[in-house]
Amino acid sequence: MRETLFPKYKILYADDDEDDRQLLQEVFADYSPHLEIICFENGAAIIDYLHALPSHAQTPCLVILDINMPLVNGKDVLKNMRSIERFANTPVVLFTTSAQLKDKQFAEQHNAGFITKPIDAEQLRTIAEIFVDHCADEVKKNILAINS
Amino acid sequence: MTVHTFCTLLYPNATGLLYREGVYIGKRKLNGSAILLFQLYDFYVEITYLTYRDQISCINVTNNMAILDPYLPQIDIKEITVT
Repeated sequence: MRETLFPKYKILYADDDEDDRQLLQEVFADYSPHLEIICFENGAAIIDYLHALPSHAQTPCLVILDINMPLVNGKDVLKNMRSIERFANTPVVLFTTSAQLKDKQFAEQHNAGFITKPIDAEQLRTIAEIFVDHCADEVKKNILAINS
Repeated sequence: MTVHTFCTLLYPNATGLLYREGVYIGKRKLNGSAILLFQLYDFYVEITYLTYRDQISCINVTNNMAILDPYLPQIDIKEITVT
């Protein structure tokens, strides 16, 4: 078995749509075993996870949030994260079904990316690279080095 | 843009336009296939998938509001209700 010297980066993804959760796991399959995607069914669950993350634990390299979710929506998760010093600069992407201007502006105001969910193979083909592009430069460099 | 002019667009121009300008309305399943409904300008575009968000089997374009019927239970009216 080949071991890697690089850490296994964690991507957190919250979405109440089971098909979308499965889709992103498949999208990032080429990046495993260097990237691990951890999925949550609603915004409250990801907030609980982040709040319970031990101080010595690695912070996620990227957090992907659907906007319309039960209990706590993606925008409120983003606001909650930005109010916590540890996650104030964690890369976050709002991943949603429509390119609504007000949602894009909200993402910009909270230092987050904004990606519309793909509707066909043309857009799906490049989505993993677009997500990785939102990670910190060092993470990006390591992921691309591993996958090249 | 009308239903007719949208229908004259070639793939992937049609889905590209829908991706940029469409407003998601809802999702349903029929015989195991996922179907997504979008509003585009003053008409509706319904996409049926062979593989979810990847291979499209059918695109239905209409300005008949009856297409909304199966999605009504999941449409959030909070944002369109005048307060």
